[in-house]
Amino acid sequence: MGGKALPFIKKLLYYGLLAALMALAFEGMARAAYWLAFEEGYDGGSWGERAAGFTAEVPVWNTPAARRIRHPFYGHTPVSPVHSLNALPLRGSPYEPVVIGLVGGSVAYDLLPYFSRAVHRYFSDNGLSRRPAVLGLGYLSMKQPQPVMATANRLLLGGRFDIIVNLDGYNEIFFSSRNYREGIFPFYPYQWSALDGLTAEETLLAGRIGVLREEQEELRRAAAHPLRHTAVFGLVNRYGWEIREEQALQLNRDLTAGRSDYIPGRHGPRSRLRTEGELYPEVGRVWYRSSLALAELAELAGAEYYHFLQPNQYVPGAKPLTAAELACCYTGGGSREQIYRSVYPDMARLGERLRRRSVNYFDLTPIFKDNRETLYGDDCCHLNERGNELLAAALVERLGPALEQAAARPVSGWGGGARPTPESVPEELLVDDYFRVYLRGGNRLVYVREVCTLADIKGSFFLHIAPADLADLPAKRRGYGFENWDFQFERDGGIFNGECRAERQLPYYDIAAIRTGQYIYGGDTLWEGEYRFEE
Amino acid sequence: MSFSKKVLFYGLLAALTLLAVEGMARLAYLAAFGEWYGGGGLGAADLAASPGVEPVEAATPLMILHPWYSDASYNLNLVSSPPPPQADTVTIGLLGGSVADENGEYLLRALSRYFSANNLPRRPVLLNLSNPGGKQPQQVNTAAQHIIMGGHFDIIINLDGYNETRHSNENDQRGIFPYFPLWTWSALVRNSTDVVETLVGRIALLRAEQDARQQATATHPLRHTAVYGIIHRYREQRTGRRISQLNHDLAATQSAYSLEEHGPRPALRSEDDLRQEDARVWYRSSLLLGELAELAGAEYYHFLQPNQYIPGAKPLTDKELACCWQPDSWAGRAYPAVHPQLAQLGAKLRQGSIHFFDLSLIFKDNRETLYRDDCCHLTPRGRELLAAALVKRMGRGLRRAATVASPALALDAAARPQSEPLLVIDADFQVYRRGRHWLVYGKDACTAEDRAARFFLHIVPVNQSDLPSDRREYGFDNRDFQFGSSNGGVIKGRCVVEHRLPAYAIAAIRTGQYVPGGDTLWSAEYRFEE
Repeated sequence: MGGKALPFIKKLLYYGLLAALMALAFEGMARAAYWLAFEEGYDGGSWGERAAGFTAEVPVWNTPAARRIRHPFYGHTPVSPVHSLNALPLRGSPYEPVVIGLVGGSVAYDLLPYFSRAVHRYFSDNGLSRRPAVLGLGYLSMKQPQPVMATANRLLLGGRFDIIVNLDGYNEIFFSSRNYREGIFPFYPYQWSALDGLTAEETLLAGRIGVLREEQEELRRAAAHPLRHTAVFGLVNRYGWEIREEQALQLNRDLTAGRSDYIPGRHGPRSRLRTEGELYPEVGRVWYRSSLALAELAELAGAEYYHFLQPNQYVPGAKPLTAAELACCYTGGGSREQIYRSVYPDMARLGERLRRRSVNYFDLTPIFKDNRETLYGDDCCHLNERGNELLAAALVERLGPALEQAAARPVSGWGGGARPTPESVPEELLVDDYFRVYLRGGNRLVYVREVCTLADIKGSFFLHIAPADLADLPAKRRGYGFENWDFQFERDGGIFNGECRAERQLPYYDIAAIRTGQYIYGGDTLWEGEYRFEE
Repeated sequence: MSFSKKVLFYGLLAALTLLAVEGMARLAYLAAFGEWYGGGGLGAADLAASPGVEPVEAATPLMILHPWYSDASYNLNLVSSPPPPQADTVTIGLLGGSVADENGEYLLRALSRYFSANNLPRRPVLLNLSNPGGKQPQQVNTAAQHIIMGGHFDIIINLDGYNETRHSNENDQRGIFPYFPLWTWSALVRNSTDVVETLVGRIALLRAEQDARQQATATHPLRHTAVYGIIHRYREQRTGRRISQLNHDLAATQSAYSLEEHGPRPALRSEDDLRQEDARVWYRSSLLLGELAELAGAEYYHFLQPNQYIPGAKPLTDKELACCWQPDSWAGRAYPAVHPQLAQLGAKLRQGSIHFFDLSLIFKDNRETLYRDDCCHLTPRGRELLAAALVKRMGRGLRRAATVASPALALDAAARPQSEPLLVIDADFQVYRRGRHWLVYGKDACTAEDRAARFFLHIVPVNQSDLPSDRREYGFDNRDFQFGSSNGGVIKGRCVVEHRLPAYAIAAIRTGQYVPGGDTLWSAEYRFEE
């Protein structure tokens, strides 16, 4: 043999080429493997960006309750601090409106603006001397005895009612049944188990998921590494991510499956009911007793109580359904119809018993029986705009005498002499616009809108304060001539008995003028006003 | 060199090297950790997380979450379905906090003795629904839940007063709404969000790994070497730093206000405001309980619990002074100031025909050791005496409940009497009864003189014992009142004034208006039918 050895440079070239070919072969194979594994061509690590949203998928244990938070006394409540279920009762209002509380579930919640408008119209049309304030105490999926507990809580915090209106019936039936099927005590709030925390063992599972998620996040960030252009790197990186994804999902499934094991705090008392059939009469009785309890609370507080069984398309003969309603809103023969029809006759009978016990009870299930318009909005029971208008009118028609009596009655707090002393009437009206703005005590602005809903306090409120002496301004504001004290209404106030009210402390320096108002989304102003303090 | 010498040489060399490494490791250990390596692995103190952050994951309370009374951990009766009523029993529900809870078995014994001594035909069953740490409105919700679920009571006892004021103050100090439950609720909801639970789980995993390593270390053959010790300790320090970091993350999730955790933001501005509102919430809660009891056909008894800090409440023994007297504590400092407000509103409850009794002074002449801690909790002897005091004051109600046919499920009965709409006619004012609780006076085209004259209202109860003791000689309760902006108004020339009636059974009322000088402007009488 004894061939002549290759010169060093050629050797280098040779091995370099060999290495490059091997690297190319690896890269090619990695791309093929990537395509086989993930059914998409490798595109340089962009998967990392797409995977950024994974945290929305898990953990799962609290997700059904996303629009609710726990409440210690009525199970759950909306997340908004200014919803009437969360806002404190008003401490004496100079306007002393007739307070009408509307309790119930989502149908009552949806009805609130329509009902409020109908009540105001009634007061206006009949020349009633006091103003009404409708207080929405209903919320999605609420069912008895939640309204009882929420009403009791408001009363013991010093709240006042002239009339309490209860519009219910559907959630009590359907969600009790759903709870029963999910192993939750039927008369606990709907999906109560989703609101419970984790046991020690489950917390460890959550921790493992957390570790995997953190590792996934590191891998995802690594997808932007300079080596991302090679599929070899991408394959290893993404494969590591996918393995962890599968492990996290499996742990999550274990966590979810384990949550059906009976835990007192999560599932409530063990029900003595052996079949769902035994549940139905009990649903009627709990609904009936809850109504009596509400009547009793109303009587204690000197209020009138009205109970309405809400309309429902599954009650036989309740409504001639239109083609649109048949398509959107009626699942004939389904579980909704079956469950509703199993309980409704009991409710109708017990409703008559409520009337014999002096409760102002009305079964509104037949109010649409001759109406051929499209009124329902879904296959549960919710109404469209026209349906809500008609339902609000039906309520007000039946409440009419009580509204007139309440408007004619003197304001009476309850709880003996314990009624809170009204705060002094705001001293000086500065702005009279969409909101009225008063000056109280020389150093507080009070924003008031008497009949008001959440929609009225959306956006941010601006408050520009011009001092008498520019030297009082922070240095960076002197060029503008005023200080900016913009605020969010929800943070400085709330809705109390239907009245929006917020207070804003003023700075202590001598003020020459204020300009205030409300921005709406997009930058326009909904209203604004200016007040110049005299020398 | 022979083979054996070579082995010896290299063996010695290796041993010397190991000794040198071990020696250097020990020096390094001293330099790194400020102490000599002790051998035998690391103690728990060595493994503690890095200082600076309280390990908040340990603060999660163990609770049985409940939708109506937040926490049912200490009394499983609260997560049980109500027992069905029985014809031969008198069902007595006991509500309150820990003082009530501790009194349960003593109360049952006292009740049984009372029933036996008085030959009562039915036997008492005590349903202990009290909840240590509980405070209003948990008692209200407990009763409401029990009644709505079809449970039965003949008598409802509420023994409370301390937690309603103490815990609301404690909540307030922590930035929690005073009328939310005890702060453990807030800790629970804070620590049971997805983010927090994941962090807590990760810390728990790291701690579990630490524990496993520590156990392995205790028996590891190399545990006596500093080389092993230094590696192990560095690893544990790294884990400690990780735990500390996670705790930092945890702390960061917990500093902000949240509605779920802290509740509504109250407008109360001073401790005095808070005390007054505490008393009012306590008072209103009792009225609500009275109403719920009436709905269920039960008698309601409300007792303000004894407390050693109320002036004159008890001559304390040396033992009690040592164990149970902390004048600088909240109870010592603030409760004596709250108590008069509770007592005053308690008297108002009695006027409203709630069976209210202030038991604050029941030990005022007792020289035994009855308290066992500086809050309000009692020794067994104290509990016996308290139970006897409760039974003594409920005697009439117990006898009635044991002898009258049980109004079980009165709630489910078909009808109740209609309330009388119009009581007095042909008087200057027309007087109506609205519901069971309100009298309404109305007069069209009324004048300033009509409003200025004082109204008298004499109420004759069915049972004279319902009257306050100072009114029994007269046979009626005097509820005179004046027309005012808080109870009356003028609408389209018509004067309307309302007055709340007591809740006891009323046999008759006599009402009218005085004119200055003592004569009556008008008067009328109405007798309620049996």
